[in-house]
Amino acid sequence: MMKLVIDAKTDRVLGCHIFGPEAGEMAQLVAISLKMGATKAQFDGTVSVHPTMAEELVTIRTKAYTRAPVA
Amino acid sequence: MTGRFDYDLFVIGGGSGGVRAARMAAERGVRTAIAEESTFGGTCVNLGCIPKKFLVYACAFPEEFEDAAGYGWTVGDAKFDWPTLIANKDKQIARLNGYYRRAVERAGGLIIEDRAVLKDRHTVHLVRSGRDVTAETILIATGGYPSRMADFEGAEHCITSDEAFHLKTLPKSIAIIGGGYIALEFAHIFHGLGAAVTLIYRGPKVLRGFDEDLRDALQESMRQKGIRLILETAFTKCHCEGPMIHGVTRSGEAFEAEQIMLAIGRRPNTQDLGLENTGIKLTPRGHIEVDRYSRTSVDNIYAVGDVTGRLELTPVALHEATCFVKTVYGGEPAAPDHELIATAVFTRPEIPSTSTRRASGP
Repeated sequence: MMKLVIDAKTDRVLGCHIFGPEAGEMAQLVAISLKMGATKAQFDGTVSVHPTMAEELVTIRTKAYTRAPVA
Repeated sequence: MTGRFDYDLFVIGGGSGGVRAARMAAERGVRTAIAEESTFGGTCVNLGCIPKKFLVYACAFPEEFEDAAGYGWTVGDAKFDWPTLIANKDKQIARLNGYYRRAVERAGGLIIEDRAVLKDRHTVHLVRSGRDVTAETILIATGGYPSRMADFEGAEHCITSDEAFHLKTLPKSIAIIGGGYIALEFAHIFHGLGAAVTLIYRGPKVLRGFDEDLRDALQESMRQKGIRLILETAFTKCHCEGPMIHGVTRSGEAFEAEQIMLAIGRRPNTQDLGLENTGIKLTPRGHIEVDRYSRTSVDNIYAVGDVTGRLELTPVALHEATCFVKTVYGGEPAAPDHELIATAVFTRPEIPSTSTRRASGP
């Protein structure tokens, strides 16, 4: 499972959650981009590394659901 | 879209780039057909990234078995069966072939299982069915193949990566000619699966274009594993003697192996495509010349992927195809961005690399 949480207003990636093999190796790299304020469009604009599991990070297209932020 | 042509878009080649373009165009209501003479999925799915990754996974186990002891495990007699691996790999590939086809069909595109040859700038001749079809726009996404252009005696005894994926048996020994990523990945695959591997490369150091420290580290690691490296010398000739192929390098080093694999580069699929009927220009290296929007020298014909020789990577072909559809059918000219593309060489350990300065990559 791989999940990106996006701010619908700003397109900024707020969080990334992964359940998968060696996913611990991906977390650090995603953290750098989030720290830099990366947007979903910037994730999408990055060419994937093929064939890897991490490439899903830049090829996720389907919106699973939308919900209001928790107060 | 005009009704003057049979199709709005005709795509030649059902690999990564062609299928992406056909699917996206069809989804937008563009009347699309895609011709593929072989199986769908192209190099990536059939003879490249995907089967390669299966073999890479398989070759990793012996090192794990070895490490297991230190973690308290006793692993029994480990035996490897090549036909099982190849059969399971082929099963997965067949599944992907179907997935690629259905992606186009579901979007409303037409699949044509035939070889397509350009007759003029709007006409494609289908060789098997013997008919001609016309299209307003044509996209060439015919990919490439492993070069066999080896200038030595006995080259006909050698295999390329294409054949390596379908060998009947795992060779006990193999010599690999080349120093690029394909040569290196296969050297690790065959070594990991138990073959004695010799890598012969005419340059002073493998993996040209990559970071120098990384190249040194890789060579050191390969030597430690027991992969024999013969560098700075060309392969001059080889001949068969029973099950073995005997070879000699220019520097006089002799070697023998059950298989010799050429990994000396890839060539674009531009032959017998009817390019001469359209006036499409080629680059000095023989790829189809395109502008920054993937348009060829004939303005209604575009080309994406390996046949254009920009960066020969699946995700780049996908990206170029997406940009093509946006440009031609989305009303937003989009030039593919070839900067800062990360790649990975699947040796053991792996070599991922991202760089702004890299001129050429795997």
